[in-house]
Amino acid sequence: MKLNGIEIEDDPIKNADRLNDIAELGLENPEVDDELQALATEAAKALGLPIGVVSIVLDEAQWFVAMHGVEGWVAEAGGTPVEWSFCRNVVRNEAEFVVENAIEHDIMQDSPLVQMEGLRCYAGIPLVSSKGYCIGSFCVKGTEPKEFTEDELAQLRAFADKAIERIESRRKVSV
Amino acid sequence: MSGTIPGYGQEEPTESSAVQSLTELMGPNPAKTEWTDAAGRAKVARPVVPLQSLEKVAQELTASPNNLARVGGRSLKIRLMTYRALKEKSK
Repeated sequence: MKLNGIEIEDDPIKNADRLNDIAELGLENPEVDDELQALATEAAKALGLPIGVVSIVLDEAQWFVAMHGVEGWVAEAGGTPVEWSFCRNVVRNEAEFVVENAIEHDIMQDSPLVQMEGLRCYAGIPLVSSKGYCIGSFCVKGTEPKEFTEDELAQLRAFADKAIERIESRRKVSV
Repeated sequence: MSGTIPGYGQEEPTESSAVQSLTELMGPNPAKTEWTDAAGRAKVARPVVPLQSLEKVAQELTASPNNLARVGGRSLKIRLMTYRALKEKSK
């Protein structure tokens, strides 16, 4: 069976070892992690965008374990269905994913997050665990088109490095 | 209330779709066992029909000792909360 041209059994998003690794990180703790939260806020402000998120990509949903500027039903749900998300492309390709104008983007233009919620720009950096799995994305988003400079992406990579370091430190505590 | 959310295309989650997702994640027998156990802990009647009851089962799954059941439970919970919130918004 294929989903978006990728055989499901080959889809990294559905990889059981990756999902096991996520489960072992102890992210179920309901307390908001102040450090991850601060990173999401700082990243959004540094890049002049309204939204910053630490998004963990599960099998059928993206899960926001820290977020800045997320409101309404997305904040209430703590994430969205995975098929709508920008971040699934980071995990699927294990690579940075940048969208400067989503309404003109082949992959993202039909997402309800674009059509209904008005997202237009996105930059996401892979969060790669110590076991080598891409567990999600450290990302910023906005409601206006934006060109991301190399300097801005370098800043985002630095925030992502700090985020995965913090996430791994939680794993050590939770084991 | 049931159906698809206009503009979003999200279908209403059901017990059947939830168990199917768990089955894809962990195989048929573990999925059935995890779902039955979680429904029992949630003290909901089977078949599980109301969204609120499905959310209770999803919440129980997020506390399972089984790694993949916790992941599947979190996914289901987010999808259920998304559906419920958008349904309210569309009224």
